[in-house]
Amino acid sequence: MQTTLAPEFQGTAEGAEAEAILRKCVHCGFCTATCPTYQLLGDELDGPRGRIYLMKQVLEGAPVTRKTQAHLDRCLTCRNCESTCPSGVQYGHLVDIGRRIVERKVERPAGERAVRWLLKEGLTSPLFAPAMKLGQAVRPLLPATLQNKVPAPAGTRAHAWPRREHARKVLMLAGCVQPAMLPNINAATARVLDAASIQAVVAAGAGCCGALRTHLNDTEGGLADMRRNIDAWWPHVEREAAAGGVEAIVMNASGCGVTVKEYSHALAHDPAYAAKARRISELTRDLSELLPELLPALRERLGAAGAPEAVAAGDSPGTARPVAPGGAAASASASASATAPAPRSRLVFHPPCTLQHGQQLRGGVESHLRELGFDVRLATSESHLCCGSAGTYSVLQPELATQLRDRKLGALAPATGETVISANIGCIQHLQSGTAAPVKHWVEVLDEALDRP
Amino acid sequence: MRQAADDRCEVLVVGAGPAGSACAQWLARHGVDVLLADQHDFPRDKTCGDGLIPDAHAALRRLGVHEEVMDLAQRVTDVRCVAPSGRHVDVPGMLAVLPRRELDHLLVRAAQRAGARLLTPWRFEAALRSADGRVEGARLRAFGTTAGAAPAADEGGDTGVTPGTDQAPAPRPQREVRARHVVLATGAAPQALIAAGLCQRRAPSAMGLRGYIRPARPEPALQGLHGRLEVFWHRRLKPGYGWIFPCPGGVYNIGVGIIDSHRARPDGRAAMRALNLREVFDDFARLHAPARALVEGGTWVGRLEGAPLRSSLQGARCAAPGILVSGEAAGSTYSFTGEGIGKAMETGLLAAEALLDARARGGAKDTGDGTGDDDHALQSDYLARLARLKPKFDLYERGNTVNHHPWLTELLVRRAAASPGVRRRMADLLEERATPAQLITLRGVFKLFTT
Repeated sequence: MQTTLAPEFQGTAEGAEAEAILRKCVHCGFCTATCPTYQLLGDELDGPRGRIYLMKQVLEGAPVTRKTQAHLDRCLTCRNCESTCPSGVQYGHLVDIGRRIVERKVERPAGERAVRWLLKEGLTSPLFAPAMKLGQAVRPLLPATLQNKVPAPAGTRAHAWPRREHARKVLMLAGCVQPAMLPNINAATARVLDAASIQAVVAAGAGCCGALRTHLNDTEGGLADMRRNIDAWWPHVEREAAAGGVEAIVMNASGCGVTVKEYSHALAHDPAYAAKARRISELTRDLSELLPELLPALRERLGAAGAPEAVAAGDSPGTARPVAPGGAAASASASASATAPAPRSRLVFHPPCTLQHGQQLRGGVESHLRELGFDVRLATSESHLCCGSAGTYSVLQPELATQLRDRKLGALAPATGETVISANIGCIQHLQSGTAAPVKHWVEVLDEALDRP
Repeated sequence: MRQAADDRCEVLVVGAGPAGSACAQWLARHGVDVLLADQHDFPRDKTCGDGLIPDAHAALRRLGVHEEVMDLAQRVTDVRCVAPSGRHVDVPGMLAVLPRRELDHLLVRAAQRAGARLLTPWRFEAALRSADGRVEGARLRAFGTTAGAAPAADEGGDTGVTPGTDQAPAPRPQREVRARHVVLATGAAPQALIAAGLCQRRAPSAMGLRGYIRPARPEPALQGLHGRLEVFWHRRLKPGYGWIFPCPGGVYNIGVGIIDSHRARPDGRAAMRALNLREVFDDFARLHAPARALVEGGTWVGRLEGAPLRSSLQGARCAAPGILVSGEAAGSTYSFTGEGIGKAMETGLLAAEALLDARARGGAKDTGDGTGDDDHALQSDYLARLARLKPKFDLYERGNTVNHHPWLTELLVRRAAASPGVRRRMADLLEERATPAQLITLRGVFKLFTT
């Protein structure tokens, strides 16, 4: 796109980056076909192409209004458009810049400012955990909208961390809201890794990945979160593996994973942190990226523990059958029939946008779970579409978030006895608020199977 | 959900571009109850080179609209192939240019005149299936176009987008259309194919970028430009070419196309090569004198816009129980030239013919109970018809050598300048008079360059 930057953006890093991204866009409109808000609203300006026009105008110095801001706010940052774009336009980076500039130019009403401040400071605060406890204690008294955000208290197992030490270690990001909200995800991750003789280490001092503040347009606050995490992780990263150093930094929330993988981009212009950030991003893995390596150990353990039923009777048409991995599944099912395992629920997987679009990781979770004998299917349609959670979006844009949630649940259509699985706490909590079917992180399901005597 | 009595038809054609309109018209003409659905209201713009080569003229004649089209179109007598050095050869043919905004609207109206019912702006969202998986209709969603479809301000100027509301509008309504058969003619965007479970390759085969320019005054560099299609090869445009096609009313369609624009990745998706189409366009405007004259001295009419292409009859499963795929969704665009209008209409007509034959056999009547045998016969019949086109597509695929090695055009232009035989052979190729079987052999291609 022919863009003539306004003087205030000429020669700035954000101006140069935005112009380079804008220039790649050829307006073909492929993106609109996969944009969730465009599907719902049908307004060009609520799709990526329209938003790109709006941001171009902002960068060219056109007056910025609350309406411009509303259209940018309505974007989920799911980055489905990036998966679709045939020209390689990095929309996610552009919208970060666009929102930041608009935030500087347009003052939000006091109420909106307060809510956004509360979200970014409250969710990352040490007071979040006690607040969640309090919320859980008085949950029946809460209004429905708040109840949706407060899951029932977790059982004791949710805090049962493995005690074994292993030579192989990985860092694990506990996350900001996850330990208080759904603590079992972290514990289950540690237990599953432990089963494969890998120790999960949580660095003291690491906290929110920075996505919260960044996406609420507190760029500096977000960068400070990132630097703090890098400082907390660096001693573990710097050390040789033999001296207790870590092999990888593991993310069990894909929303955090996509952010940490982009630390290198976010801190590229910070001379003190650019090199470290690059190293951190290189070491970062979504938990599912470890699965190929974990498979042999897990398969053995599952076999010994009485594996999940390899193939459920009466598979519905279109359900992918588990792949028999070189005889291991056969022996697993043989031992399963010998020990008559407890009936296991079938799984329907919602791949988070931050996994399939943000990190461009597709197929890994479901194919590896199938190799372990789980019966996993995807939504019958629109598996690429966002569930509406999108970080704080479900709080800030509740109407659209609820529409997308219900549309997603309609597509997932969990049958009785089916469990919905996902890979990001936001999606899990948001989907759970709209269905009676259990919604879990896939690692929790794997952990339960390992635990079954 | 809206359910109306008219949401029922014998054949639902999704997509009212040239393929869909041709298919709908042919079916309606033969007494079939056809619903032609499109996500846009007509007329609407479609990014394209707008060139009508001989195969398009043949299809337009079959559809009974050739005269009507030619009354509106800019008539052209030759294709000028320009080598990197500027040397050129003119290949004569039955040629014309008509912007798709007008051509597609005309074709839709012709389908309506024949009896097809038009349903816009409704977009394909999912196939409706029977218990055994046969497609028996489609779920459509209302797809109003608002602000964005309108801005047509000039390239480089104001985009004309005015932010709309800050209130979240209501969700779009859905409807279910029951049909005995569905024809998917949804173009290069793969979403409908994916939703129908027929997509084999998401990535496009090529990318084009084009705009319209009105020259300010006559210039020597533009002389005679209104009477020919001009195509320019250069290593800076590799693998591809630049074009200038004259539209009616003194406007020129100018653009660049890049083939093999995407590299396949292991997951079946593809990443675009590290090239920027806008930079390729800038190179074209710098290197080719008429392009330079247009860009420097002319006025943009609308924006420079891109479009992905699906070519070589690849990338989609073209038939499944209850559903056929035609047009660019089926990859009907020629990979060498990026020409797709004629072949899109041809594949739309092939789908219609296959459906009519099946109907004559008694298998495609609305009253039929949809036994597998009839579906099977229809699918193999349609696929066989498409397969008969394939040699031509393969030949054009081979022609891509020229796009990868622009210096070959230098050789070809020199040979053609010296040999009426080579010029005749090129004209035969353009008119599709030459049998691809002869030309597709290595020897045939070799002869093109050597005799």
